Amino acid sequence: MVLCQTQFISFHEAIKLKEENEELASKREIILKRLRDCMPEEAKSFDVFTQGSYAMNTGIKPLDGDFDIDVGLWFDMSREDAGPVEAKEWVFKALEGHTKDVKMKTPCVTVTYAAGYHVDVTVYSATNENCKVYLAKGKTTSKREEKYWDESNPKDLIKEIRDHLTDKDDRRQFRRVVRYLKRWKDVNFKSATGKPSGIALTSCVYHWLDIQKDIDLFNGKVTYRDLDALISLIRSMISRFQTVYEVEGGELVSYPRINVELPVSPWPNLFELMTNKQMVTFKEKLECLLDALEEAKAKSDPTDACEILRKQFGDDFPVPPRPMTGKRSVAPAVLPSTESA
Amino acid sequence: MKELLFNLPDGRTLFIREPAIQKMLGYQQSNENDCEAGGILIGRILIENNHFIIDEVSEPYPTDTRKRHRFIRSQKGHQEYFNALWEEYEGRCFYLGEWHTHPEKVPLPSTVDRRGWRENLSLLYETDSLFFIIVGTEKIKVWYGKCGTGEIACMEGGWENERKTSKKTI
Repeated sequence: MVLCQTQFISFHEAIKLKEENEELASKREIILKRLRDCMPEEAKSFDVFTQGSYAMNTGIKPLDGDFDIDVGLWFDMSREDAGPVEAKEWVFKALEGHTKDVKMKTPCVTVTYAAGYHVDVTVYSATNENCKVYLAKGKTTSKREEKYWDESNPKDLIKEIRDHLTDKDDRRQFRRVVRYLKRWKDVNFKSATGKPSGIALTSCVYHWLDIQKDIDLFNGKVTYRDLDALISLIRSMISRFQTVYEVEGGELVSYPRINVELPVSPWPNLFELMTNKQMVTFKEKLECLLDALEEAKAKSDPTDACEILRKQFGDDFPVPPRPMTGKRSVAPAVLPSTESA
Repeated sequence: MKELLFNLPDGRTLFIREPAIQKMLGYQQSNENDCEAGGILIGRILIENNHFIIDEVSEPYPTDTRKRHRFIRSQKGHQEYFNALWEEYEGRCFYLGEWHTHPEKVPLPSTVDRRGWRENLSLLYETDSLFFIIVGTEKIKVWYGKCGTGEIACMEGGWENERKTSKKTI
């Protein structure tokens, strides 16, 4: 029975998007300058804030090197002051021509750089009579019902995730498990569609993680068990799938589905958009992950366990050469000669 | 896959990897005139939990005495073999005990064996435990010895029970 905690920690260090990532900060500055300089006159005043996993301390490095920078624009206006697409058009006008590839997408305006990263700019109506914050949804070409202000408060979400759990070391295990799961998703879901979103997985960990640690009664030393934390979390997730029935070609077909709520208002189900078939794949992959985690745990040699884990978490998961998992002796033993019969 | 796992009285485990087992099995005294063979056990004490893993065993050298019912292991050969591994692994390996074969189905240690193990346990090593393996013609048996106190206990398990033992750990 092994835990491979040392290897999990190295893996975490390898995939973690560090807060002091200068490269990303400078890229962010470039776009902010552009927004401030080129915002059309009719636009309301705005504040800027960093959002996304980076702000929640749960960011990981992308596998393909395509960094995603999230910028939120907090417009000082109510929903009545401007239409959602009207507000997004201000942003689009400010950014148009900045690179060859600027697109208005349903939830944001995306600027793609040839250097291999993109910036998603989201637009919020932040001053409303009900104190709620709304995200601008829709594109210029969208139908009327697809252009709307959608209740969503990223600042509340960031705070909720950042401050989750009071013990700072428990919180670290929470963030590590989020990152492990997000990297597992990137490694195991290759097609562009049908993968669970990062925030959906983050919310699963938020709601269902059972912190796993040992406390030494003699010296109070705390040892975290990330492998056990993952095993209990994935087991819990699998147990939450429920069967739904659909009529297909006159026959009743059953599908497994799981729901998870965003931890802040309006608590939407973050798995809502996954199709039934995608849900089947998602559940199968979770079961495969659980089998691997349990198989790894049952191993006696950490190297054998890490080889199993690497298949799930990808090449950033280290497989130590066997001797490296052993203690170092001070000097070679002096052997006796022996007699047996 | 042939791997062996034993539970120690103190909650730790001894795991013997397949390459080591295969080497020892190569010397089983299955035929009437096969002589005893033996060597030393080399392995790791894990950083993460102090459990033992036997990775390597030495094999008989010409300087050893091999008879039908006796095996005398000289220091020569085995010491050089151990030193070479110790260098290669930058000190990350320990001498963990002895193995030898017996021409009987289910092996039992002789008086000579027990005396030799006790003497060995009185010597000074960096490990707190040594293991003694006897390879019979149908069963491998492993004894656990505590350095210092010289206590010796037979461990449950063996390759016939491989499935049962490994299941316990899941």
